[in-house]
Amino acid sequence: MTQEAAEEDGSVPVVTVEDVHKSFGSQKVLNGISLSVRRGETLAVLGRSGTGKSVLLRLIIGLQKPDSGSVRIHRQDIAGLALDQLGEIRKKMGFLFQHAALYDSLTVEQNVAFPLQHHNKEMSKSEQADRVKKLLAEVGMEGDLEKMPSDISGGMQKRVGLARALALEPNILLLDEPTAGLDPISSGEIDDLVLKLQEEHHMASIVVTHDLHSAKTIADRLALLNQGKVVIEGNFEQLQESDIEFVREFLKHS
Amino acid sequence: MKVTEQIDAIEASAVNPYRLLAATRILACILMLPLLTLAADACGLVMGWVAQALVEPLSLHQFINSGFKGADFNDFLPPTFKTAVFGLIIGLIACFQGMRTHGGAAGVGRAATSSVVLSSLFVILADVVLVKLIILFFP
Repeated sequence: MTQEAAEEDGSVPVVTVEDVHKSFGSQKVLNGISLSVRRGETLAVLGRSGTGKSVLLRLIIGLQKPDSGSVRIHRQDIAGLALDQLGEIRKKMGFLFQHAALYDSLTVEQNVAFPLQHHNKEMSKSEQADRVKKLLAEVGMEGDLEKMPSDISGGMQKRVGLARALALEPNILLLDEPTAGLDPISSGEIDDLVLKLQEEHHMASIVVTHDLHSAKTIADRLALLNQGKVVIEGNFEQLQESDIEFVREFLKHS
Repeated sequence: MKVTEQIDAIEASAVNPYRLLAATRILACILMLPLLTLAADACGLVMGWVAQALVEPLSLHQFINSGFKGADFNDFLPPTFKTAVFGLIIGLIACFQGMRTHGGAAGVGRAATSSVVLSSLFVILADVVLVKLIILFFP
């Protein structure tokens, strides 16, 4: 069985983080963290604010480099790769930033078309436009093509950010606090959307969140971070049955 | 764009942000500074003529002819093209500071101030060197 086939059927992980350490000055943020994710699986990374959850995602997409340890995407260690080589790997990944990070000088349509224009040069303009419309329809934003990011709400920006993250049909999806700052109804809509997209696209997804309800809804496994390490990893029932003090405290207050 | 993570989003989309953002802006500065210099020169000429005409009536044609009587190529083109080097300096420093911005809105202000101060300093230093080179190669 080839590596691609093994990853496709979920028998080997597509993302492997192994004993990663990361500090900013004297502050140790990640202290030997290890986890892995397979295709078709959603891993929620939970923890208190400031415990390095977003840093972990940034290490996986290669926006930052670990001090030690390895981050392997499709079995390739990305830490030593040049920008162009990393770019090839990033084409297979989608990233939803915490505040969507839409390009504020481009319309909703142009934002979603951005990855297609730079990487799918064999697509004609009309094919790109059709693909953009389809992506925006998937996230319920098909009527807002000409709007600017400043004209739409935070929840709508996240939907557009999701559509942009899916533009190149990634097999890895990283979501940084997808429901942060949203009301419960909008949060629920984003959760439903993530579930639907996961079913349709069969991706390896990592969701960083401190919203336990959201994590329970969308994730197959949950990993709880504390002091830069994974304290517990498993499904929600396993977390509930844990006798680790921090886990009980986290669940109590969530 | 840095503090709102737009540059990170560009990088996450597997697009080189330096090529997309910095290179285009630096090239624009290199091209535009000589053109701006020409525009400034033209404004200076016109306003000089206005000031002269207020004291002693003189046509624009006469003013320009008498002003350029002793001037030649070396007095005009090399000093204008040296501003392309200024454009390179301004573009490089501004993009460098912009890409390194951190600390939210206050950080943007600090980066803008640093860009202006460093650009001014390096333009002055470059001017000293370039004037010497112009005198040497275009006596």
